[in-house]
Amino acid sequence: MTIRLLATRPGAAPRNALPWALLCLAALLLSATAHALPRDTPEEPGSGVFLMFDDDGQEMPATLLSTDVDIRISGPVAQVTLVQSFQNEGALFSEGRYVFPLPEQAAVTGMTLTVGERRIVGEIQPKQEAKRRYQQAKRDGHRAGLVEQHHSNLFTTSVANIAPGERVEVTLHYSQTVDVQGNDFRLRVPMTLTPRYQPEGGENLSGPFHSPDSSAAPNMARLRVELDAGQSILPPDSGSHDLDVDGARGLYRIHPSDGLVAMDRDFLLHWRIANAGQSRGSLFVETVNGEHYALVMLTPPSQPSATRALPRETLFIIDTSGSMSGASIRQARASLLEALAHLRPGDRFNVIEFNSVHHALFEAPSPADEVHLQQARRFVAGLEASGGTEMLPALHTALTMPTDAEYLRQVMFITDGAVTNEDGIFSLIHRRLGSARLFTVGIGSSPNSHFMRKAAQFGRGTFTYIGNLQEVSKAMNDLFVKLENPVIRDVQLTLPPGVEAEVWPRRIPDLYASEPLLLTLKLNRVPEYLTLTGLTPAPWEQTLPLPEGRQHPGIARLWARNKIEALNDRLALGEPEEVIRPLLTDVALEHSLMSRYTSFVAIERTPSRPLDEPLIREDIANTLPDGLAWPATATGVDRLWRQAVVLALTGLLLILVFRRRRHRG
Amino acid sequence: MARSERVLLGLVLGLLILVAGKASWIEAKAWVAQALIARAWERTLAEGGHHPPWPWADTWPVARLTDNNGKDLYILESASGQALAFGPGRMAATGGGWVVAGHRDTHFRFLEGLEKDDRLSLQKADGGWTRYRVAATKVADTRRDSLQPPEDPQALALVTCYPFDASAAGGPLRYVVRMEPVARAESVVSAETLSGRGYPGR
Repeated sequence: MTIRLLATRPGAAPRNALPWALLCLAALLLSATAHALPRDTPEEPGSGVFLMFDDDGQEMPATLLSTDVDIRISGPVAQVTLVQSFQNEGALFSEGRYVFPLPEQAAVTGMTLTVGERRIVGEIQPKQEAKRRYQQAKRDGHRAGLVEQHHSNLFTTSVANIAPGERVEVTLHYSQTVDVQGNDFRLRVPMTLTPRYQPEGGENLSGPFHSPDSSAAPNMARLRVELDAGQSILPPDSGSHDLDVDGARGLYRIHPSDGLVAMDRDFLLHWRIANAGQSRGSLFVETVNGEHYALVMLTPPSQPSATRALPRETLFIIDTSGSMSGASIRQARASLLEALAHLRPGDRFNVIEFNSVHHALFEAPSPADEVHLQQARRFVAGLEASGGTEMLPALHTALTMPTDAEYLRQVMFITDGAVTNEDGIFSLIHRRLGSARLFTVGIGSSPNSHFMRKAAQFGRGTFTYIGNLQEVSKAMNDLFVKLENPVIRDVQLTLPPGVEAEVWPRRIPDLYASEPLLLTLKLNRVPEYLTLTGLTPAPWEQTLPLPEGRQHPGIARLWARNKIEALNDRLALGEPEEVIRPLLTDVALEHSLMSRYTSFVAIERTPSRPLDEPLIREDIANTLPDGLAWPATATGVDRLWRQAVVLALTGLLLILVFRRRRHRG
Repeated sequence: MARSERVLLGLVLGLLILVAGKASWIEAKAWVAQALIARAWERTLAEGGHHPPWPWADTWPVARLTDNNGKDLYILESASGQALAFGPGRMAATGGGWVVAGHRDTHFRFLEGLEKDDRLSLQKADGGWTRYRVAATKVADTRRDSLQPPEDPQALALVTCYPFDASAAGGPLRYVVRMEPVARAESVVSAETLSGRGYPGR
C-alpha cells in the first residue's frame, strides 16, 4: 500500500533509487513474514470433514460426501428429497454413520439406497426388527442401509459394506408443513445441529463436530427449490442465503446464488401473499386407498385490540448457558431489550437468567416503571454466556412465582433449546402452567426448534424463531402484536350431518392473531363445508367451503404424522410405553412413516463383502453451527516485534545512506 | 537533509512507533492485567462470588495455575478474545473437565516447554489446590478435529495455538495439553487415560 502510494509520486527520481529499494525490501520482509503461515498438514481431498477411526483410534483415509436437497413446495406442504453420497476411499470394506437433523415437523416417508447401478428400496419396519436385519446384513457382507430416528428430530443414516472405492447414495424423502404467520410463509431446512447439553451422562448422539475454522472447508450441499404457492405471491427471499429466483406470481424456481451452500447454517425461505385481505381459510384434500384426508388452514385476521382486558405480567427467562456464547447471546440480549421496550406502564415483569444455576432480577414481579426498567436493562446488558443448561429449575421458579388474578401472566422463554431432558420440561409446563401462557423465542444459527415449538404448544403460546440480529426488532414486534390482540379460545370444529372425522391435534389450540390453525382430518366422506367456532370472548364463527376436488399429495401422511405427534406427546407426559407403542407403530407402518418405533431398512440380496475381509466403521463429522469454535489463541505479538526490528533496521540504514550521500555532496 | 529524505525517515519512524506501540500494548495488557487479576483472586478466595478485576470487566478469575517455579497465572471465565488478552480463559463447559485456552505468544508460551509428567498446581475458588501432571500432549487440526472437554471431570485440557513460533495469528493448528490429577494418575495407569481419549487422533 505504502509503496504504491509513494512510487507513483513524480518526485521519485532515479537519484533516490537506493532508499526506495531499501524501503521496498523492508516492505517485502514485512509481507513475507505475514505469509509464512503454517501449512504443515496435508490438505484433505475435497472438504476434509470426515473423521474415521478403526478400533485402536487410528485415523483412516477419509470418505467424500455430497448432499443434494430438492424441495418441492405445494401450498402449505413441502416435500423434500435429500440425497447424500458416501464414497469409501479406503482399501477396506467400510461402514459409514452420519447424524443428520431434519425439520422438527418432518415426516420421513421413504429411503432408497443406490450402489453403483443398483437401487435398493427401503422398507418401513418396526425399529428393533429393522436394526436386527441391518446388523444381520452387515455381518453377512450384504450392502445395507438403515435410517433411524433418535431424539425427536435427530436421525442417523448407517450404510454398511461399502466396497473399497465404491460410491453409495442414500435418498431420503420427507414432507413437512410450512410455517405461516399472517401473510408470511416460512420454510426452514436444518443443515447442521446444535450440540446438546446433557445434564448427566447419557448417549452422545451429536457425533464428532467439524469446526468452523475460516480455513476449513465445511460440508457442502446443492440445493434446489420449486415453489407452487397456490396463489399469487411476491418473489421469495431468504434471511440465510443469497438466492437466484426465477418465475412469477405463484410459481418459482429457486436456488442459492453460490450454487453450493456450506452446511454450517440452516436454509431459510420466506414468501408473502401478494394481495392480502382475502379469505384466509383454505382446505386441502387427498384420497388414499379409499380414505379421505383433509387439511384445514385458517389464519384469523389481526385487528387492533379495542380494549385491554387485563394488565400483563411478563416473566422473561433467558438462557445464558455455554451453547449461547458468541452471536447467540448478543441476539438474546437484543431480543430481551426489545421486549422490555414493549412493556407498558401498569404491566409487571421480571427477568430470570439461567445456566448451571439460575437467578431472578427481582424477588417478585415488579412494576414496569422507569426505575425497574433501567435496572433490568443494565442487568441484561451484563449477561454473558457460560456453563451448563439447567433449564428445569429456572422454569419451575418462573411458573411458581406468586401470581395475582388481576394480571395476565405471560412467560417469555429466550433460548437455543440445547437440552436433552425435554420430556421433564414438557411435563413441568403441563402441570404448572395454570392460567399462564408460555411463549418461546428461538435464538442462534441452529436452535432446537422441536423443543421450542413443543414447549410453546404445552404452554399454549407460540414459538418465534429469530435467525439473526437484523430480525430481532421485527420478530419481537410481531410477537407483541400477537400478545396484545384478542385470543380466540375454545375453538370447535363442526361437521355437516353424516360426516365423521378423526381430527389431529385433538385439542384445538388457542388462536393468536396471524397465527394459523392447522387441523388434519380423516373423513368417512368429503363434506361440502366445515364450520369453526370460538370465543374472543364474543362468539366467533367461520365457515370454510371445500374447493373443487384437486388432490394434494402429502395430506394423508401429514394426518398420520400429527397422530404420531399426539401419541408422542402422551408419552412425554408420562403415559406408559406399552399403551402407546402399538398404537404408534400401527399408524407409522400403515402410512410408511419413520418414528421412534419404526425405521427404514434397505438390504441388498447378494453379499458384496467376502466374509473374511474386516469391516471398519467411520463417523462423518457434522459441520459445527456458526458460533461454536476452537478459541483463537495467538495475539501475533511476535510478528509485530519482528516487524518493529525490521523497521528500526531500515531506519538506521536510511540514516546511514543519507549521511554518506551528504558527505559526498 | 533533503525534504524527500526527511519524509522517508519520518515515515519509517512513524511506522516503527505504530508497530512497536501495538506490540507493547499487547504485552502490557497481558502482564499488567495479571497483577490486577491477582487482587481480584485474593478477594474471591476471601469472600467467594465473582470479582471482576476492574469495574467494567465482563470476566472474573476462576482459578490460579502455578508452575513448579511458583509462577502464577490467573485463569479467567470465558475464552472470548477480550478475556484472553488479559489471561488464559476457561471455555464454556458443557460437562466433563475444564478446557482452558490461552495465547501461545503470551500466557501460554510456557506450554511449549511442558513435557509428559511435568507438574502444575491449580487452585479453584474454594481455595483447594490440586496437583496435576501432564498426561499427554497433542497437536489438533481445527479443520478436522473437534474440541471436546475431557471426559473425566477432574481432568484439565490446556489449549493454545500451534506452532509456537508461527509468525502470524490465525493458523488452523492447536496444541492441546491434557492434565490429570496426580493422585489418580499414579494409581490408575490405564490404556485409556494414556491414549488421551476425548481428542481425536491424528
